[in-house]
Amino acid sequence: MNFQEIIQTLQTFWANHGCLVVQPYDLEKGASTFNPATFLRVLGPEPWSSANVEPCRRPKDGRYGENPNRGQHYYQFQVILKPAPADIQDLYRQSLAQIGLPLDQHDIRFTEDDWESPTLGAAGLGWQVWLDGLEITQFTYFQQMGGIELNPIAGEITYGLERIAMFLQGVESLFDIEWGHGVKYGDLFHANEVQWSTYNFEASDPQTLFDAFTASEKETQRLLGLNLVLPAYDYLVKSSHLFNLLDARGAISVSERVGYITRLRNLAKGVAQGYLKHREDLGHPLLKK
Amino acid sequence: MGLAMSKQDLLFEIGCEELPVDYIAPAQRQLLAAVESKLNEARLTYTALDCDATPRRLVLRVRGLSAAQPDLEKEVQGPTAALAYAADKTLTPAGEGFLRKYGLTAEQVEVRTGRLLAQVRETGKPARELLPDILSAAVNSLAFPKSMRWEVSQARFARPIRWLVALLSDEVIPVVFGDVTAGRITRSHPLHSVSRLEVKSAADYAQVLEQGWVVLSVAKRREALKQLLAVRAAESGGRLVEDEELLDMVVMMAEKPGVVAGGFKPAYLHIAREIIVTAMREHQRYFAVEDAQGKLLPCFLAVYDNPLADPVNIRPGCERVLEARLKDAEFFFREDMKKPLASLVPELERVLWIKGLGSLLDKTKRLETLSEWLAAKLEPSAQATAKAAAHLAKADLITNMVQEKEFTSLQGIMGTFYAAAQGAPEAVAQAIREQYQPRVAGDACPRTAGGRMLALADKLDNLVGCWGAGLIPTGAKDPYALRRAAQGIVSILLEAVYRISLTEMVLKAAKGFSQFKEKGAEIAAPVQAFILGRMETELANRQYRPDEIQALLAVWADDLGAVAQKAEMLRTLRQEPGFADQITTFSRVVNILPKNTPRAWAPEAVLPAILPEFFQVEVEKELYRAAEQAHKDLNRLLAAGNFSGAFKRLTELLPLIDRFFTDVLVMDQDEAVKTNRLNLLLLIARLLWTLADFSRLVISA
Repeated sequence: MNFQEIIQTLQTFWANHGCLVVQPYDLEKGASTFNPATFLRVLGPEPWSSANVEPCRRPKDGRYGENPNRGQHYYQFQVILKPAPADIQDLYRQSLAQIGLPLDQHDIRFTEDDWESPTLGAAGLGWQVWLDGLEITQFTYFQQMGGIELNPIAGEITYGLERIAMFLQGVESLFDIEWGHGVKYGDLFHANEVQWSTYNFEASDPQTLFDAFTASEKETQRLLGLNLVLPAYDYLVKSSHLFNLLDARGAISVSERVGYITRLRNLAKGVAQGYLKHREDLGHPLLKK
Repeated sequence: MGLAMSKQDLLFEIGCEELPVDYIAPAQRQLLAAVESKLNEARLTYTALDCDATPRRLVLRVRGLSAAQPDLEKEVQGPTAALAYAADKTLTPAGEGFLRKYGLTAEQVEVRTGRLLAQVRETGKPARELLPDILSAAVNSLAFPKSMRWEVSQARFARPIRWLVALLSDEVIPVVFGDVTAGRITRSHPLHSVSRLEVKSAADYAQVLEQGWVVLSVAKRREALKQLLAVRAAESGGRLVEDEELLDMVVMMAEKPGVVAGGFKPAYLHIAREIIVTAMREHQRYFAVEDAQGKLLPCFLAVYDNPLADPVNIRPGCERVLEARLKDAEFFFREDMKKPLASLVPELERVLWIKGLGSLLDKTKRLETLSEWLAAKLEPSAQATAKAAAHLAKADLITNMVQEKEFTSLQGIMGTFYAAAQGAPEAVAQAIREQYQPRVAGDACPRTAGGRMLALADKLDNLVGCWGAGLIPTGAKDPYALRRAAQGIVSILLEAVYRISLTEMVLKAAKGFSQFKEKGAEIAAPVQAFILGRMETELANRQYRPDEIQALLAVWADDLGAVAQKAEMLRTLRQEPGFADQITTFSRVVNILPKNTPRAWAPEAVLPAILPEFFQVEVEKELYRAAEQAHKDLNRLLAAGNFSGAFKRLTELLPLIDRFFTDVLVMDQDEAVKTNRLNLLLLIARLLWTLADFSRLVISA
């Protein structure tokens, strides 16, 4: 199965199990948790089920296209089920079978992993799912988001698409994954890895990034003050990515790092509280009457 | 046979999604203890109780459970007679109410001390009625390091509970936990084609699970894995590198475990063995294989959980993951070697050690001073080594390798590799690795003198720092591993037979903290007590009797090496004829003193003055002179560590003490005379207490 077929198959599978196939969010982010379909929708009492592919950026993970297993840009497939159904593990196993994994010939194991995102004030308990010792999925029951205890609890399934594709296609490097029609992942993205690694580690201008960080942090706060919680959220996402760029550039010292994370978490808390109120004001329209 | 006599077996299975590996054994113990105490409380008897587990289930079995509580005879109290009876001796409504409540007739009631009393017989309830509450309370009582919510009920557990089975023989006990109610449907191994299996009765359960591809018994899985690992290792041309702790983990990671052997490129073998073994163990949970000479082979053994799979299909994935990890390790090693450890030391300033206690550079500086000071006292020839090792000790914490999550356990070990490779003297490099020893209870103490100094300094600094900052362990919470630090100090001091004052060490360590320099005296006593707590455990492990340990630790015990020698002395003395009599007389001295007289006198403590002018009898004067002389001799003997000599010297006072008690009435009517006599006895007691509080020894005739 090629890369685009894997995505299509997962979309179809989860659509058939009641998910809205929402789209990737049009901002740079480190993980699909930043997609409003996750961060915002898991808050509050309204039910929500969605699935989406998500391009993610982690500037620090760039290896100039030289590491067969790592890139600064990659894809996640994200599923949110709120409330988490009792058969959520079974559904996940079925989805793996759908994309052509012979479960009877491999070792699928749920290995303890407590997930935490200090920047988002988020925490959850669950597992890394191993496929013959390789981590292919992060499986989490969210407990907290934006510092707020969640109820009902959402289940989050995050597939690492490249790893799964490498496994299914039996290739040793992510750049050898077939995307579709004979075109390889490397044909599409290798140059990006080289150029972005150079930018992230060497060429980015820390001062510009610092200024941008400060500006978007301020903008988040200003917008929160105006009760424009959805635009405020975008500026929080931008701030977070700018922080990641600064971090990759080595522009933030170990001791300063904690301070930046706290600033981001405070923004995230502000947004989460604002969003809860916003949905309440709307009368929780997604709650079944 | 009546209901109360028949015995039944109970099965209780908590079915969950995969539990964290290290939660399972503690949960088994807690569940056992909780059910045991609740059954006892409910007066239900049983013949056996056990708890087994897999990653997806905790299973409690009670055998020979009584079918009902025995009836209970008890006395019940009613209202006062004045309230219960009217003037004409007929019952008032209050009196009738009492009778009605317990179903009593007027004849069954008596009046005692003005109150109505009756003997009632409470019929025991059947077990099946009591068990739902007992079992759900037991589940609720389980405590995990972290628990979660997953469903509307907001119930908390380590991972979601998806099913419960509770059967008393063949009868379902409807235990409720959260949104789940117990029934008779268990679940098979996730790969089994039939996922739900019916359990007809508690007795059938084991067989049902077996058909469902689940090996319930932890012991059986462990044994099976042990054998499989040995076989696969032999097939790979070597032998298993034994790792019991890892085995305990993987046993809890599979319901029906299998073992697959794989390999990695021999080229990686040039990386240090510890790094390879750590890369395999810490994240992947693979076992290492070595040849007959103990040389690592380019092989690994991985445990998997799939009874259907041909391991040939699982191997390539396992190999690829390890390859990526070894490649990372090689990369980190190469990168780290570009920067000498010494050049990293100034960068430690940027790394917080513990909030409120400064940076790792601050810690480094304290360790340099402290380990040099310790060496001056204990290992003068290792002074330079200790200081140089302390300088580099923490630098590896900011190397690429140790900062990587899966390799953090290589702290110290990487420092040794890098230091040695960068030309540091061997003793310095070795000490860096040994600073964390003993890493766990039972682990070896540092082998080198420099290592012991650094290890002592590091542990003292941890203890004193945390204590000064108020980060004191409470109950099960010990986030800074201070108990282990204290245990390490005890082990090192005893193994090397170092003679040094705990108080002095603590005061010196406290001086290094700018944050609470002056508080040293304040924390010295609690830190000393905390270390002595570990010493008590250590002595118990060494099979000293509880009364001996108490006798030793009741007195000023500030020098652990001395305590250990005194313990040995006590053990020997006990065998000697006459010891019982000696102790009886010595105890007389102590027992006549006021009850709360403190036993722990620091050497510099000053005793109340003895005034010879108040002595009235010759023997008093004689005893005083003899005690003074003994005091001088004792100081000399104790300084030389000659404790049995000191005891012997004290026994020379015995005839005089005996005469004193015969000729003198201590509790004289004249307060001044009495006080003076007590002070004389205190002086003698004080001499005894330089060894032990002998009055605590249990002497059998």
